[in-house]
Order: sequence, then structure tokens, then C-alpha cells
Amino acid sequence: MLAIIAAAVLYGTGCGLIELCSMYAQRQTHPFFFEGDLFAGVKGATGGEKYLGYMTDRDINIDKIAMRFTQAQFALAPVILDFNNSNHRLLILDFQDLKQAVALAQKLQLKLLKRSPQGLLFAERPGS
Amino acid sequence: MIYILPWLISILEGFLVLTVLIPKAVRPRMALLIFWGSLVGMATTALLTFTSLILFNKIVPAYAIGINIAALTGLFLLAKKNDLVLPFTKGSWDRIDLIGVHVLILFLIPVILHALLYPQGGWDAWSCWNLKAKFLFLGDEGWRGMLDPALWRSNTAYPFLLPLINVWYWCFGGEPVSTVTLATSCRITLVMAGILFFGLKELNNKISMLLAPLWALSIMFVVKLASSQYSDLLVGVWLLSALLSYKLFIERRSSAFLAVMLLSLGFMSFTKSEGLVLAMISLAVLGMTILLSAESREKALAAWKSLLLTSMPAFLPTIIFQLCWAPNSHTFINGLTAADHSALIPRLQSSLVFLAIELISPKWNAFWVIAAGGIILAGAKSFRRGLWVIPVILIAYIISVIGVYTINTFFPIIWWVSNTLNRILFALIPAVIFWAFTALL
Repeated sequence: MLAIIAAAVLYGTGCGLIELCSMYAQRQTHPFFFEGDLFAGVKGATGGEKYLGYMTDRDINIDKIAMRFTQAQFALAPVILDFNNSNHRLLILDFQDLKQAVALAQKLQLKLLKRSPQGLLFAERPGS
Repeated sequence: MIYILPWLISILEGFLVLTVLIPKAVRPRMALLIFWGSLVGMATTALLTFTSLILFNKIVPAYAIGINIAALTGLFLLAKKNDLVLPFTKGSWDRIDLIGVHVLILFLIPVILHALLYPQGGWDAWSCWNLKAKFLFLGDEGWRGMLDPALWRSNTAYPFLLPLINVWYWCFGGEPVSTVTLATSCRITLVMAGILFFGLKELNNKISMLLAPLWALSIMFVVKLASSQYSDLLVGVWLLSALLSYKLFIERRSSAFLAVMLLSLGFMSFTKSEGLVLAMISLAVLGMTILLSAESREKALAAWKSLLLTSMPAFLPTIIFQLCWAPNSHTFINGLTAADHSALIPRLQSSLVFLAIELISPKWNAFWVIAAGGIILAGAKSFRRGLWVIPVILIAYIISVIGVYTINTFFPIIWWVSNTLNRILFALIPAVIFWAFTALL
């Protein structure tokens, strides 16, 4: 039995090392990127606010979008991101279609505080 | 470099806790004490950091450091009265121990390399465990924001031993760096491997026991999950610790090991909801076994009560969290109370089929098949001298998990089992290896 386990250890270690090498090779062409880092610029501007409204036109049921939202939440903690709730004083507008973000900002009469190079808008609801 | 200090305090604290609890005559060898102490120390430093939340309603780093240093001093004085042997006293490590440590470190390299590929860990690391740690560390009095219903995607009802382990380190550096969370996952893996090897070697003085941790570390899927900064391995290593304590209690008839077993179960209950379920099952099975096998039921009951009181500090965070802070789970719909029960049978079938498929999945390198083969091959030896409790605990736990998959209709079953069942099994690997090796040799 020990011989079988030893064989399993040798086989597993060999396969594991090959897989690790290929993962490192892939990393050369696809460097590590944490989407939460896109939201780091907002962090300093939250000014002790407990909640931020996170407005988006993306479908959170898609894993990639849910990942973006949870990574944003992680980057901004301990501020709580409230998904598609525009009732907070500060809002992040993370839209695929910037025109829709601008339309929403006009509708809610938001004051734009920041705009990231990636198209994220950080805005305030005046009077709230 | 600053993080070496909390690491040393943590190891020393755990080592001294074990030295105080276990009399010299039955105390395990130094190598096991160091690895086991590292695990206990992770929890005690986290537990003492937790008291900051009770006293100040926030994490106060100076308090956390101060109380841990005070505890270390107190434990040192107590340990001196209980025949303290220092970790590097001549003759306390044999050649096999030293070879073992080096081989384990060598096999940890793939875990470190994989962890470096994903410095923020896997999905649950940023969406749950490290998020909780950031709330605790940066949130001041607002740390309870991590329990806010808006964060329902982040498992708000989960307790937070792993986040507190990381917070203890951040107290020294002053900022929530991801290097700490990454290093913690590697440390827990090394501790699991060390307890597995030196625990088995304690029971059966053979170098072949080294195959036990290497078996786990040679599975790439295990390496991936171990380096993902999740709480699952912490559940697994506490279960291993409880089973090892129980086995040593059977072998050496010292109630000190029962105290360590109860501490292990207490700490396990604060890891995550699954840990709480597993701790309760283990407590019931092991507790009943010990009570029923005692010569005098009354004496055993009295001893059991005093042991429970001794180990109460380990259960305290769980009790406080569950009674005072834990929010209702937002991801639970009781299928039993629904008007239409027709979904339950297909959910049960899907869970069972998926379990069967998972056990033979190639990603485990035939681990479950070989382990089952070994246990069957060992025959009656697999159930001798207290070993039978292991399958009872494992089966009861799997039945509970399948029960939850069936009853909780919040998540679509296929999505749920395909994303979580592998982690449930992963957490059981140290216990299964421990069982197989103790049965075989």
C-alpha cells in the first residue's frame, strides 16, 4: 500500500510541477491583474462614508461581473458597496456604456467628483 | 521583517499552552509540540486579539500586542512550573525529525509558488475572509459593517478565526498587506503537514509516515486550494488536531489530551459554519464515546464537565458571535417549509451523484480511491482502538452537508455543489490520511 502511495506522490509531484511551469509561462503573457485595483483611486475620497452606491448596467449574475464587484468591495472596505442602490450620498457609476452613466448622472442630478481613465465615475448627490 | 515577531510570539504562545496543559511524562516529542503549538498559537493570538472587540468594540493594535505579551509571560511562568523543555534543547530533535522538517519545507515550495501567482488569493479570499479582516482592522467601531445585509454575497453569517489570525499580524505592520494573508495560507499548509507527519510518527516511530503529508501536498488541486487563502484547510487541520488528541488520549490515558481536543473543537467552531457543524458532530461522537467507555460514569461526567470549563475560552468567540452578532443568513431558504416539496428529491439525487463524480474526479489524483483501498485493505485494523470514531464523524458530517444541499433551495443545486463540494472534501483530507495511515501501520 505504501508503494502505491509513494507512486501517487511521485506522479502527483511531477504533474504538479509541470502544471506550475505552464502557469508561470502563461503569466508572462497574461500578467496578474486585480480588478479591485481600478477602484483604489476612489478610496481616499470616501471621507468616512459608511456606504457607497454602486450603480452599473452590467449583469452581476455573470461570474466575471460578480468578481469585479466583489473585488471593488474588497478594495474599498470598510466602506460598504450597495449594489444598484442610488439612495446614498456617494455613488460609483461603473457602466459599460458611458452614455448611460452620463444619462443616469443627469437624471439624479449628480455632481461628478472624479473620473478614472477606465471610465469609472465617482459622484455625489447634492443635498443628500 | 516586522512580521517575524508576531509569528514567533504565536508559535511560542501555542508551544507554552501545550507545555502547560500536557504533563512531561506524556508530552509528545519536540517537533510535534512545535508544529502543534504553531496551530494552537495561531488561535490563541487571534482569540486574545478578539477580546479587543469585546472591551473596546474595535481592534486596538497596542492592546492586542500587550495582552499577547502578557499572556506569553504568564504562560512562560506556568510552563516553568510544569517542566518546561525549551525547543532547541540538546537531544529534543532526532535525525528523522530534522529530515522531515526539510522535506516538508521542500514540498511547501509549490504551494508558495502557486500562492505567488495569485497574491490576493481565490474568490472567497477577497469576497469573504480577507474582506472580513479588512473590516476588523480598518473599520474601528464600524467593524460590524461586515455583518451588513448589503454584504450578503460575502457570507456575513460566517465566523472569523482566519481574519483574526491575519489581523494579529497587521497589528504589527499597521497596514492590511496581502503578503500576510498569503503567508498565512502557506503557514497553515506547513502546520497541517507537520502535525500529520509528527503526529503519526508520535504514534508509530517510522520515517515512512513522511509519505502522509507528502501525499496531500503532491495533489495539485490540494496545492491550489491550500494557497487560496480560504478557511477550509483551517477546518481540516483543527479536525486533525482533535483526532490526534483523541488518539493520544486513548494511547496514553491522560486527560490533558482531552483538553487539547476540546480546545481544537472550540477553535474549529469559529472557523466557518461548516467548522461549527463538524465541531458539534465531533464533540457529540467523541464525548459520548469517552463517557460510555469510562469505568465510572459519574467520575467521567465530573471530569468531562471540568474539561469543558477549561476549554470554554476556545468556544467563547463562537458563543458570543452566534448569540450576539451573527446576522441571519441571507442565503438560506428552507425547502422543507415551502408549499412545493418537489425540488427536494432532485436536489438530493444531484448532490449524491455529484459526490460520487467528485470522489473519482481526476483532479484528486485518485486520492479517494487509494485512501478507500487502504482502509479496506487494513480491514478490522481501520476500526481498532478508537479509530472507528473517524468514519462515524466523517459520515455524519457528509450526511449533514448533503442535507443542507437538499434543504436549502436558495442556490441552484448544480452551481452550488460544483463550487463548494470540492472544498468540503478538501477539508477532510488531513483526517482521512491520518485514519488511513493509523489503520495501515
